[in-house]
Amino acid sequence: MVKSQADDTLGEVIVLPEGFEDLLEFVPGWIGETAQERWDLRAAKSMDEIRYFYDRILARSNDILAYLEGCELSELKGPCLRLFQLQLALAQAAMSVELHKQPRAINSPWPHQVQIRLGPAPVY
Amino acid sequence: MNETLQLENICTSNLTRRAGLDTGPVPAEPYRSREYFEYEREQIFKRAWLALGRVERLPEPGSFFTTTIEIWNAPIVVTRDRDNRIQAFYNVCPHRGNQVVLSGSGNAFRFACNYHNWTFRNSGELLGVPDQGNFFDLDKKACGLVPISTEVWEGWIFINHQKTPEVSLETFLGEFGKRFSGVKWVNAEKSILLEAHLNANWKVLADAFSETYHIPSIHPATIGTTFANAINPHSRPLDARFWGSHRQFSTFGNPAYSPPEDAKVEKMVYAGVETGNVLAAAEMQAVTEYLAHPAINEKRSDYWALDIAVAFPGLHINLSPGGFWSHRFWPISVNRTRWEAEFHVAEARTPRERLQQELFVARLGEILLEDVTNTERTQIGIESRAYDTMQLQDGEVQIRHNLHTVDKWVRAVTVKEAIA
Ligand code: FES
Ligand SMILES: [Fe+2]
Repeated sequence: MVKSQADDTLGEVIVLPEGFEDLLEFVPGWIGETAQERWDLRAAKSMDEIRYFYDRILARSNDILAYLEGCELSELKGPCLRLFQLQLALAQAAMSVELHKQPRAINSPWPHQVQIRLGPAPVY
Repeated sequence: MNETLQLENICTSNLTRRAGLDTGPVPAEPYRSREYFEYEREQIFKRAWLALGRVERLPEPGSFFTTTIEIWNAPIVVTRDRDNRIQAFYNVCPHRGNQVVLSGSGNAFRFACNYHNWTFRNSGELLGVPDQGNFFDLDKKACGLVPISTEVWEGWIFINHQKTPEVSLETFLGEFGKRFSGVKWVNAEKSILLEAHLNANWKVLADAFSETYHIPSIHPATIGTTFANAINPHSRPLDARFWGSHRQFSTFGNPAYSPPEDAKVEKMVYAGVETGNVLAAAEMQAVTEYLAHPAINEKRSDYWALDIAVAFPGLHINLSPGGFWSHRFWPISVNRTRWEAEFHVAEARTPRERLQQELFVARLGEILLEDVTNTERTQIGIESRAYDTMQLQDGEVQIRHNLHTVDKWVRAVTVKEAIA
């Protein structure tokens, strides 16, 4: 069954699906529209911000994935899309927390030249 | 002691001498000389077959993509016509030289130049000229898009600057082409593309992806423990083989690798998933068929990480347990290069799979960033002329072979002589 994908309604903007209000503080700071944007967002943050986000999203990941389970991946929009974009940003946060133990790769310049021209499909 | 003995059974030694290459320091001049770069342009990049990428970039009749071959100073467009023929053209209008196709990719059977609206079929012919009567004896047949020599090998599109190439693509690839024919190019339909413009010679870029000696040092956090272990702490290669200009390099992997305890996201994302390789998120069935190819992990070694199949000069095909990817190196000037890395994964069907792919891409970004940022520093060092040579160890044999091959092409009067 396809879960409801409530669009932003007139007058009252629904930012994230019901039940995920605890993650509102990460919108829009951790919302990137592409893998490249999520990379850039994470790389510009401090380790404290990254770790805080990492802990909070990791704790909610099973709920998020379960909530989105029935959704058509290529048609995500509105609150569901934002929720999934937060979930995807965890992949970026994990690079800093689990691999580098610092925001960016050791000895790498910032900004840098490496660009993800085309990310995984569906692209968002 | 025991460990040394074991390593000798796993990794072929003396790769450099076996390849008939000498073992002295190699010259730095080919990486920094403008004059040498001009020889490379004329003798290599305007004579060799150059790989553009996979045919899946042109999925159906009408598909096209545009790119620039910087070292030819040429914008090009590559099309698939109604008869499924794949053909590259100069993306140059015969009227006054504007680029005919402006978008990066798409589907069209006709192109209209946006300057004065001349129109062309996607197979090159000039169709329409507004106010043709005001021209003087315009020979429309002679005013099509100029074709570029194009051939396809195993789904890889190659182009050649020579109007009539001295050798066919098949002859050019020779034994290498035969060896890698029949590979099942798993998940080729979907691409993940990374690109960078870097201030480094194209060979510095290619070298960065030609040895595993650097892995424990540059990539300690990302992949250090997947390519080395106590038996092989410096990640010596399993093997290297050479066929004329082309080659194959087999790298060592740590069979005991598992995600570290604190890799919580990796574990969460892959919970309940049977995957032998952290570098890939491909489907197992197709992968099993692909891995059955005799040239992939030829030794059927438990310590195999991946094979690098190099079609000189600019294509590195990486064949790993989870699938394949490629690097392509496009020289712009003696110290500037455009580098492309293209990966292939199946389209995600569930949020969890899509998250796996996001993690895959995030990790790739980190690894590749670690690789390529060293290249700009290396170029600066080479251009300082502090040294005129580089020291290469046996595991860096690909770099020596590449330099040897480059020099052979630069000096060769004919392509036949260069590929011999
Ligand atoms: S330059 Fe293309 S129509 Fe004039
Ligand atoms: Fe590397």
